[in-house]
Amino acid sequence: MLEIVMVSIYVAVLMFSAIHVVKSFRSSHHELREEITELRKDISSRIIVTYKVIAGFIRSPILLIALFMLPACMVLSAISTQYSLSVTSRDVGSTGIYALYIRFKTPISVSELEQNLNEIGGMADLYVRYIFDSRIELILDDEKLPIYALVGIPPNKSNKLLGGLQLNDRMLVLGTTKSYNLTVRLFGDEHSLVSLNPEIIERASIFYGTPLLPVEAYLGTKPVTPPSDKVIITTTLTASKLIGYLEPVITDVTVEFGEGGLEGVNVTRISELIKRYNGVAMILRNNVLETLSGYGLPTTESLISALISALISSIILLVTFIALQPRVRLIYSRLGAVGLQPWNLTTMLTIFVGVLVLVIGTVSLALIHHVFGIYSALNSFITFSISTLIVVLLINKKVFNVSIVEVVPTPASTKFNLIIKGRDMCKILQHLSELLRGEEFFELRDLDMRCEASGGFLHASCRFRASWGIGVDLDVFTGLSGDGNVELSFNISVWSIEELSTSQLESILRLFESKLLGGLEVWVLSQAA
Amino acid sequence: MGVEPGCLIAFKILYRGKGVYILSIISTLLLYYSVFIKHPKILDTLIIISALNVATAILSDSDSHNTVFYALRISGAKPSTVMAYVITASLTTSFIGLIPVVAKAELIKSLIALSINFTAATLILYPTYLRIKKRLTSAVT
Repeated sequence: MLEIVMVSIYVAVLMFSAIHVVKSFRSSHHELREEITELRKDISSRIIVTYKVIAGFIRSPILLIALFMLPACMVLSAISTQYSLSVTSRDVGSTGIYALYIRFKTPISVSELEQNLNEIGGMADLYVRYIFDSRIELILDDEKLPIYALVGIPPNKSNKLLGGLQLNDRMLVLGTTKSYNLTVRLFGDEHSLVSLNPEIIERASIFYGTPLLPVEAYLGTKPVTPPSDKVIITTTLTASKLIGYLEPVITDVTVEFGEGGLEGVNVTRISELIKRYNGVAMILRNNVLETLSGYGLPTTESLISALISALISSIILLVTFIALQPRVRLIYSRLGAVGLQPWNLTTMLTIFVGVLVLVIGTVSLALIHHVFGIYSALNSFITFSISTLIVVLLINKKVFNVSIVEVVPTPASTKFNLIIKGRDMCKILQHLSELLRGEEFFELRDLDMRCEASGGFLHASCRFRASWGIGVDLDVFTGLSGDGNVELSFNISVWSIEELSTSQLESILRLFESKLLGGLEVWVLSQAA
Repeated sequence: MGVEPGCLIAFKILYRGKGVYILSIISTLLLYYSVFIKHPKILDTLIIISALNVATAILSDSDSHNTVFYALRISGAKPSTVMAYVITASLTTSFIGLIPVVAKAELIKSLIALSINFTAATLILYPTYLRIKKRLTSAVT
């Protein structure tokens, strides 16, 4: 009931509002049309302004580099996560063994793996450890034996693993206290069935901590295996046939090395192999057991890596945007003429950069998720979010904030007048030019001089000999003051190609000034004498 | 035998700019990946980042480079001085940017990275000089 009342009220209010809107539209039809036209013009002009701002920005190659840098750092973060997720190592105490072990989830064809195994190096022992989906029945003369798993071992290892028993392709071994020595027919082939002490089979291991019998589950760190009388042991070749493969297959590989032999092992190839076939590899270096797998949880190392890559991308993004500052000021000086406010430009550029970084970051995240998986994408997301946050906050405050006053260094210069009594104006200028020509600290590059009865001038441009890219410009205007005295107006300015400090420029100015005035003073005194 | 003035100017500009310092900091940070991450694709990624890093370092000092090119052009410097400047600045930044790649101790990829870095730096610096030269020539004529 309440719903019907609410809907009725909603419809009534809607109709009332609609009628009023139509009425007001009719009454001020002309005004509204003009307003709409103005609004359209306003919107179109704003769009053009925005386009010009952004177009001026996009054309800079430095922005392109910055935008490449973010995905690159995200990939770096993703790759390092993959590495830190897949390797764990622990100290297992001295074993004296240097060996490699690879376990695959499903049987893999030997021919498919052959090249990879050759690249790893060493002599590989190939095993099949297979648990049937449902048990099979081994029918003997007077009993049925349920079998849950099948193990295939290389014949050369049977002596060691099966307590001296020499295995061949036609032999099946069962770990039981009952004594069997009979012929059975299995999958159409005849095999001799031999019983063996179950303790020997249960104790046998193909690698450090890995039993010969296939592992069904783990109880803590202890592997749980099927009972040895429920597992058939044979050669790898026969086992492949018994589980229904036409060519030899394997599920486990062990490679033993001598001391130092593992140094030449291609770990990259092993990583690729376990990634491709969804496996696990273990490398035992005497006391250190390294486990490589495609699974895991994010670790401290992966987080450190994400933070470092976030730092790198933030620094580079900030530097590139700081380098864009002159361009931002140029855009602002142009747009400021048409009335654009500084905060307006700042907001516009920040939104633009934010959206651009977000789009690129999201696309990169999707690609990383597709290529490297969820854990790497998670780490890349940390890199991406930290970088975006730092960059957007700092560029908004520092780079795009055009209202910040820019300090421009002013060149050092001086102006002064000098009155010399009773001397010829042209001779003074002539002496000044000679002084400049013979100057030891400054090299004269350009000299213009003109002297007439009523006045004269001298313009000189000198280079500071002690350093590159620093010079002094001198302008001297002469005229006659009362009583025949000569008045000289000096205008000296120091310039530098590099951005030198004011004190440095002023010390050069003082040096030039003192050399000039000192030389003039000595000349005046010598003339008086 | 004197040192080419262009080389000295390049060292001075790089020393006084911020690009080399940023480059050094990022190269040092990237060393973490070179030393601790043993992933087959890490070196390729480091090569790309190293090249971008060098390009950023050069671009972040672009004002100083522009000023030097203007000054060299106005003062009528020899083309060899300009080339010495470009090569010295490019090589210095390339070598600093190469640190994380070199740490992986793979000679061929290090040489590839060096050439990529050098090309990236030169492709930014030399066209800048050419642009300034063209601008000044058109201003005079």
